[in-house]
Amino acid sequence: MTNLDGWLHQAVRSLSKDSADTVRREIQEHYDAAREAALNNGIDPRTAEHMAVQALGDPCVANSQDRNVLLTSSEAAVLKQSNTESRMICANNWVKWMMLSTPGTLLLLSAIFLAAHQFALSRGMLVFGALMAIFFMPPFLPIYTVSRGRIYRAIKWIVLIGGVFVLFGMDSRNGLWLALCCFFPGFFTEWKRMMMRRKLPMSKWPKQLYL
Amino acid sequence: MNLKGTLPTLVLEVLARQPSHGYHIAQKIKQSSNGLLDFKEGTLYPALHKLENEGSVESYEGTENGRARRYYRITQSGRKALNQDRAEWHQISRAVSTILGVA
Repeated sequence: MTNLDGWLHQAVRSLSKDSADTVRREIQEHYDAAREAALNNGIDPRTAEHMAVQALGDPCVANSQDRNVLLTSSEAAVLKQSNTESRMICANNWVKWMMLSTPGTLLLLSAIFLAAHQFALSRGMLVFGALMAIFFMPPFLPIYTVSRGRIYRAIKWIVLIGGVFVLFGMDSRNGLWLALCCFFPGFFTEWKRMMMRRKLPMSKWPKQLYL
Repeated sequence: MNLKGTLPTLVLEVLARQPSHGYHIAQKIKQSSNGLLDFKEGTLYPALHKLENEGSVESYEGTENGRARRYYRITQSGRKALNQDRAEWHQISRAVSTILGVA
């Protein structure tokens, strides 16, 4: 392993494959140019290589800065996983119709239970219906522009937090903790999406970053 | 000398003169400051990627001496950001000079 390989190994740690390829390519080009310039100045090849790597600085610092602007492997995994889920819903006709009809059915049931004075059941149906609508219907809604995406995300968080308040009433603080623990993977995905929205320019956003 | 926070502005300044690749940008900054502004070149690329994400620069494939290189050029919004950075820098440097009694 050369000095540069060792440097690159540390510099691309935790980056996604595409990001790591970009970094490797640019640093290799930079290294080649620096080495060539040193050789043209009459420096011996070994010293030239050493100088070129030294000039790059600490690979851990470069890695930490790159992770703030390029996709990491965990973010790329979130994108890939969400794509698979989305494809699964859209590809199967029966799943698609189930996803579209269930929220409506639950909201209808909520109204029926409300009319029958079954308030607890009505609240439960209302919350689950709203949550299912907010999470499963986006592939079928025209929300993939910057402003519409923002509106959708605001509604999503209002429904999420509002749902906890409707379900738990006075005990909402514990309810929020319970929701956070039970739906941790969902919140983790939201967190990763937020980080990606900050990193990527809007023109490069995949569909799911609008959600 | 510590370049913290000023590297993106220096990069934009170099790119405002002509499109360049990373190595050239690094050398230009060092040469223009007579070696006073020295920085670790590995941190140049995260700064370039950040500027690209912000839309201040754009990259394209080019060749130099028959070798493929990734070139960067400044965009219209990058020029606006550079003008803003210049104005801010003049204000800060005037203020600091006043305090230090250099002005």
